[in-house]
Formats: sequence, C-alpha cells, structure tokens
Amino acid sequence: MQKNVLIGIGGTGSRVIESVLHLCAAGLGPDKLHIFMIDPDRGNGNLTRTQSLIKKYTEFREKWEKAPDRPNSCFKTEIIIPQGDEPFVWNIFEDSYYTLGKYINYDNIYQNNRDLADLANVLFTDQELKTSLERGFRGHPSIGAVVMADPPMDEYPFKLLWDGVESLGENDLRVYIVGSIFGGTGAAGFPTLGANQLIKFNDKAKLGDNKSKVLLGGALVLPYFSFSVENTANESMFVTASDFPIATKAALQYYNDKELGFDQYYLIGDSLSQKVGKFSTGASTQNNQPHYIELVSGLASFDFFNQPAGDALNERKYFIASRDNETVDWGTLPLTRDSSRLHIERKLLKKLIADFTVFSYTYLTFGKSILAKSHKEVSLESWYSMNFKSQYKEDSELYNPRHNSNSPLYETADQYMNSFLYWICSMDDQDMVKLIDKTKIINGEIPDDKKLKLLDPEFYKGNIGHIVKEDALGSPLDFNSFRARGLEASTIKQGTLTAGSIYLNIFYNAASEFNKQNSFNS
Amino acid sequence: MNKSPVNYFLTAAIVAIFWVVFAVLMGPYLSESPNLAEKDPADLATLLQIIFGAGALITIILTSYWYYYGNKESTAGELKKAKGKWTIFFIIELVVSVALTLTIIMLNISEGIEASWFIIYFAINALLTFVLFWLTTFLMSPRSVQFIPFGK
Repeated sequence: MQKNVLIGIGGTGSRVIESVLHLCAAGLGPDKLHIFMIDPDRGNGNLTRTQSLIKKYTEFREKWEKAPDRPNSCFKTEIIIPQGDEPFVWNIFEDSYYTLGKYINYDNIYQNNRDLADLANVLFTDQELKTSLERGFRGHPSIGAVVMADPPMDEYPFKLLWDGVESLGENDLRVYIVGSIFGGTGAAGFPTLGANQLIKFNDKAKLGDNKSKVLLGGALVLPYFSFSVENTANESMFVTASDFPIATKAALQYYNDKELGFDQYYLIGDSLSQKVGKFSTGASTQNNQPHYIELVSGLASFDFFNQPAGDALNERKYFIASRDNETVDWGTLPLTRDSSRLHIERKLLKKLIADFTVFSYTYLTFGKSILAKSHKEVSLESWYSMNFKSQYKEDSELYNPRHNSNSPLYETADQYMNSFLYWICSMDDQDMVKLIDKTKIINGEIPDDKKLKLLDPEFYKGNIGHIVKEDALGSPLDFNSFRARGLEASTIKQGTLTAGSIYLNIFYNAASEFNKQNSFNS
Repeated sequence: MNKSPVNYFLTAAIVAIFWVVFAVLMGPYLSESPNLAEKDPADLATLLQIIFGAGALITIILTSYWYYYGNKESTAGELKKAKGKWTIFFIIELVVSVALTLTIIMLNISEGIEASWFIIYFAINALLTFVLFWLTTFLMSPRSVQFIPFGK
C-alpha cells in the first residue's frame, strides 16, 4: 500500500496544487492524494483560490456520477485534506499581526539578555524585526527559517502525514514538497521540512538501518515568471523579479552544501519570464495567473508518486528535460523518468486535457443553453431525445435533467469548469506556450475578475476544432461535427444515474469522441 | 436501419413493393371493377401504373434527398430549418397525391367511374406518397434528424 502526500509551500506551492487539482480533474494523478499547505499569508489570493478549488473539486467529484457503460477517468483521484474544522493550511502564526521581533520576543530579550539581542541584531535588520509578517516573508527566507523551524508535527495539517503510517512499509509514504526557491515562504520552508529529523527520519517513519517509510521528494521551482512593478509606495520590504536570480543562486549553493532528507529533487524553471500579474507583497492582491511551469511541477509530482516501488532508490541518477527552442508544446512537456513511456504519457496528457477543456467549454455554453430551454423546445435535438425523451418524467430527477434536484450538480460543475478554463486559458501564450488556444474559447483577454466571456460555439462554429493547437494544423472539425459525431454518438444507459449526471456524461463523452476524430484529422 | 446506404435501399425496396402490389398485382382488379363507358380496362391499368409509379418515384426522390440532407453534419446545427424542410416535403407529397388523383379523374371524367373508386385511387396515391414518406422517414431518418418526422 502506498500513501501520497503533497505539501505546497507559499504562493508557488498553492499554484502548483491548483495545477495538480486540474490535472486530477482531467483524469491524471494517483487514486488518492493527501494535500496540505504552508503559508503565513492567510489572505493570499493564490492560497484562497486553491482552497476554494479543493472544495469545488471535492463537491463536483461527489455529485457527478459516472456512467458505468461509458467510464471516464475524470476526478478519479480522491483528494484528502484534514477533516472538519482541522486546518488545511499551517499559517505558522496564531494571529494575523506578527513580526519576527514579536515571535522571538525581542523586547523581552533586549531587557533581560542584551547579548542575545545583539545577536538578533547581527542576524536581522531592524526592518526585518519590525515588519509585519501577515503577508509572508516578503522574499526574506532567513525570517521564515526561524519561525518555521519547529512545526507542530502532531497537529493537523501535519498530522495528515502520519495518519495510518503504522501499516506502511519502506518508502511507502511518498511525500512531495513543492515551493519556490527564489521567494520567501517557499525558500524558507523547503529546507526546514526537508531536514532529516522532521519528516524523512521522524520517529513515526524510521525503520532503522537508515531506512524510512518516507520517500521524500521535492520540487524546487526556480524563477519562471515576472510581474510588473508599478506601485511600491507604502512598502518598505519586498522583492521584485530582478531579485530572483541572486536569491536562487544563494539557495542552490545552500542545498548543494547542506545534507537534507530529500531522496529526490526536481529542479524546475523557465527563462521565458512571462508576466503573471502585477506587483504585490501578499494578501488578496497577490493573485497571479497560472503558468505552465506550475503544470510541469504538478506533472513532476505524478512522476514521483508513480515511480515503481522497487526502483533502485539508492542509485544516484539525473534526468534532464528541456525545450529545444522558445516554444512549449505538447511534445516538450516532461512527464516521466521512464523514457519508454514518454510518448504514451504525452499522448494521454494531451488527450485528457483536451477532452476536459472541450467538455467544459461546450457544457458551459451549448449545454447550459439547452438546459435553459424547455424539454419540448429541444426535443428536435436527437442526442437530447435519445437520452431523455422515452422515459421523461417532469417530476423525477432521474429522468428530467431540469429537475430542481439536479441544480446543485450543475452549480458545482459550472464553478469547477470555469476555474478549469481560467487555468488552462491563462497558460496560453500565443507565441511561446502552444497547448490550448484561448482565443478559440474566450472573447478578449482574461479579465481581472476571472469571469470568462466564453464564445458561443454555435456562432463561432469553426473554433472548437482549433482549441488544441496541434490539432488545428490539419482540417479541423467544427461545432456541427461536435453535435453529429460527439453528442449524437453519446447515448448513456440510465441505470440509477440522475438525469443531471447523465447530461454531464453525454458532454464529456462527446468531447472525447470529438477530439479523437479531430485529432485524427490533423 | 437509419445508416446510409441501408436506408436508401430499404426505402426504394419498400416503395417498389407497394407499387408492385397496387399497380401490378391489383392492377386488373382496380381497372376492371369500375364501370367504364368506352375505355379499355387495359388502358386504365396502364394509366394507373404510370400515375402510381410517378407518385412512388417522387417519394423515393424526396426521401432520398431527405436522407442525404439529414446525413450532412451541417444539418445537425440547423434543426429548425430541417423541420421546415421536412414539412415542406410532406406537403409536396400531399399535393402530389391530390394532383395525381385529379389527373386520374380528369383523364377518365367521361367514363362514368363511381366516386368510390376515385377515393380508392386517392388512398393508394396517398399511401405511395405522403404516407410512405412519413413512414420511411419516421423509421429510417439519419440520426441528426430522426426526431423531426411527425409523431416521433
């Protein structure tokens, strides 16, 4: 038995978790995944977005029943987070207004032990001691290293690591930690959690003879984005993208010298330096756009979780993957250490992401427009009538897709799919990142409020065949083909499924069928 | 049954069978039973074969076009237009059956044939035109347009 745990540290960590969740929604990922986060910035926009996404993911997964006759792997991963009121995030500080000085009790030390206070003054500037840490460590990992040195391992969320650990064998507890190396929280938390005694050789994990139940992996995310710095007034301590290289160099030197408990490292970065938003020191305004490097970091976690149990873990190996030019496409994403499986896994990744994208797009546009009309009004649609006409009962949630009892499912689907499309469209860069073409899905740029204006596929009929950039090279199919080859080929056996679930299954199946044929055309 | 070309062949076969039954096998009965003033029953039988054949041929043509049109992927996106087209075809078939019956009446107006026979000829014309059009499209329309015929 294997247990997989993903720990995200700081803003980058939360954004990688966002990517992992969307990949799991598309059907990638392990069967079970435990997740928690570390971030002192309680109101961080990236963190809030990820927390809300986990809730949406879990709700959608619970409510959407899959068709037994047409199984798909969407949401196959069970995401496990601390239950009930137990915290999902370790916020480090008990209350929101904290400074390093307050944390180390500087005033008291200054009164009672002047030598110790002087040491603190040598290690930290006055500004570092007095700046509020409610928005994180502001690119100063030395502060984070102090306050994160002794995490409460017997309390949630850390306790999530040790639930059921008794039954695990050597390397069965796979812990993947991800954070940025160039910022504040990630750079501080990564080596702290990687310390030998904390997780790898924790008393609960030790097996003797230098063996452990824990296989510890870490993704060090190197600088990969930039942001516009327009307004730094009223901010005294912060980092900008120009600080990233020097911070990275220092951190890498540290990791090279320091013996940490990590069994495997993933070093992930990018020199394209795409902009992901505006400058922010933290809180709700730090809400960056998703980036493909977060997708890559998420895929690296799957490589880590999926590695064979009996692999020669003691043998030191290096795997390198890079793009050949400035373009990132489906064929350049690193997916697995097993080169014999690379081609298959790339095809699977492209298929599942494309299927979920087309599923989300068509459901949110055409699918919802059909639901907004009456049963009688849409009875000419053969795909609809094949599935709902013969057994239609107005007052039954099993036979009427518009029954009120199906509304919660649609609301959840609506929210999750919008988040997914926001994520996948944000990664699109017309020149360099060529995965999904956002211009075929949304009208204009992605708005700050993240409410996407989706293009009507019935009006822009040709767009759907161009959504996956590689598939747009041949003779792509159009929305009429989606109806004829996708929807009309998707009859779902009712069984015990609700009409709402059937409705979603029809659209997923149609998306998958359409992409298969569209891809074949290219 | 709604797959191409099976639906084309089946439709042609069904219409042909009905034509053979009414125009060839029942031809002598339909032409010899009515009272004719001057016309040779064999001439009336030939006329009925031609009239019934014309109706059957128009049905095959319109039904085949409907199958072709229903098979086009663009039709899946214009179902209201398709519904309009089917209704027009159905009305054409209805008009054709009436017109063909009127032709029989006009060409035999001086023969003194009882009105009940003209009703029977109309019934056969109706069967070979709009009834068969409805029946075959009801049963064998392509997937995209299968719910368009009346009563489906």
